[in-house]
Amino acid sequence: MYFESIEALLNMSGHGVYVWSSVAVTLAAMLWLVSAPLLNHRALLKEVNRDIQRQQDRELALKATVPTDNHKESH
Amino acid sequence: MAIQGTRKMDSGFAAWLRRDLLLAYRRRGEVASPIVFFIMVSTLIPLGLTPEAAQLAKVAAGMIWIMALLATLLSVDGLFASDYQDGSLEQMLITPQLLPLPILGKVTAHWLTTGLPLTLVSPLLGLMMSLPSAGYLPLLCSLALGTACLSLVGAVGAALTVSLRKGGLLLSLLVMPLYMPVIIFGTATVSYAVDGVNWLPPLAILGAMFAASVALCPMAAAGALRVTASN
Amino acid sequence: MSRLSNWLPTNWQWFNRLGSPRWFYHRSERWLPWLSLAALLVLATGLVWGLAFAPEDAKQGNSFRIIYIHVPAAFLAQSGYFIMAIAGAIGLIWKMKISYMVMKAAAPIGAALTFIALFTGAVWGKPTWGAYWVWDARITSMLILLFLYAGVMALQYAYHSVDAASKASAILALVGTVNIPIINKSVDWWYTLHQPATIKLTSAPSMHMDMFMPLLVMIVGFYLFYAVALILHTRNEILRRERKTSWVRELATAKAGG
Repeated sequence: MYFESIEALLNMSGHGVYVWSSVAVTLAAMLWLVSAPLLNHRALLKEVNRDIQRQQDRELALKATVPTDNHKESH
Repeated sequence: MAIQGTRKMDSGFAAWLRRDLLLAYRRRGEVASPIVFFIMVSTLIPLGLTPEAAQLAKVAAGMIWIMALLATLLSVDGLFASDYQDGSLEQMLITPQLLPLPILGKVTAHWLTTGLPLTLVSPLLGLMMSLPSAGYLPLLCSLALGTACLSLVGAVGAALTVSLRKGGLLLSLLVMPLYMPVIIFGTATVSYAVDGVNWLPPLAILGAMFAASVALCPMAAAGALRVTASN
Repeated sequence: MSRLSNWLPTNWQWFNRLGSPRWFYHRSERWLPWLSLAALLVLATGLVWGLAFAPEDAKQGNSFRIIYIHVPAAFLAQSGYFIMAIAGAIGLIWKMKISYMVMKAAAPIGAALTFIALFTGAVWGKPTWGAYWVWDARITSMLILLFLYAGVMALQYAYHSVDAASKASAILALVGTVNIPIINKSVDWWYTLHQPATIKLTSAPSMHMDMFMPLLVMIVGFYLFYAVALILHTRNEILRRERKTSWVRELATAKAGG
């Protein structure tokens, strides 16, 4: 290692604040670039599932209403 | 056949140029507004900065260039807008002529009605902002070439945003970064002359940019119009 | 343009298959773990090497270590614009659906990398010039690049029609690509005109080998990271645009069941 101790590495002869804040912001941005699509991916799949469910519900409801209509008419 | 072909291509350019100039002549008030804007903003600068001649002289070239850029940006929004609304853009898109030529005709008309008047008015603004006397000729030359570049590049942006409701604001967002080289070399031409350096090299670069824009921008605008005008 | 694909020889099938969003979605699932692992390892190596083991710069001291993130980020931000424009061009020429999705995915990644380059450049400026913002040539070019990315993204969102949005922003990206070299050269020239360079950030040719190697590793690492991020964003775009297709529906029900 170029530095003599961990403190020296963190301090970097006074420039530590600049270097480590740059590193922190960069890593945060990179993490966001990867984690956002991963979270979004799950949400998208859920959304597709909800669409399917809604469509199935509508089809079921349609099937259910047709006979009752006939029933009413017969009265 | 070949002669007829070239005449046809030529008529595409000349016909649209003539038509747009005629339209501009009929709507004189509307066309004059960028120039009025150009002059009015220039009175803000002494008010906002300082009326001192020495300080104004330092920023004169840059300020005149920035205002010319903004004035062009204001007007380039309308380049295709009225044609899109009245359907003549559709007509232009289905003509057998090469599309870039009518577009070049329209852009030429736009430059003749905004860029050229801006250039001709600029010495007056230079006078008001106490531009050193060595700067006038370079200011005229650089603005003449530079505003032509601005009109050409602006046409691409106008074509990309023609069918959008709030196209104007988006247009300036798209086009502004592309304008930056022009303003760098435009102001450099003037400041070189004021400093007593040979000002032809930056002007030559502006000329090169102009040549490249003439070759590329009408094509890009044509491609953009084919995509956006039908949406 | 569409006629071109008709007379393409049949052994171009792989090309069409690559263009199929479904094929890409399934295949990229296999690439992702390896790519992510490689990116993580290379980035970690480069970062530790650059921050802890590389010697310090004679003039700038330890603040120079910001180079190990600033330069790769700036590098990828620029390449990312070209990648985006090439994807757009492929879409315009071959009408490949997937390339438009890649193009749309590339824009926010490139913008984020440009932001990283700007931020680290500004922080680096403080110890070097004593101010957070200096109109340095590289930083100014980066700012203009951010505007260019913003333009493409704004145009992308301005159109309701996916087709128009894709094609319009592809054209804009191509126009921007032609302009980027001109902008960079102009800004460089403008910078030397106004400020005779005192200390230039990143004077690469004179860099010592011990300093240069970690930088190279970091650039490779950023490329790998870029690939991972681009694939992840593209996969989402595929799901978003193909949500009505049967394969996405089957996929979603399978994921919900399992």
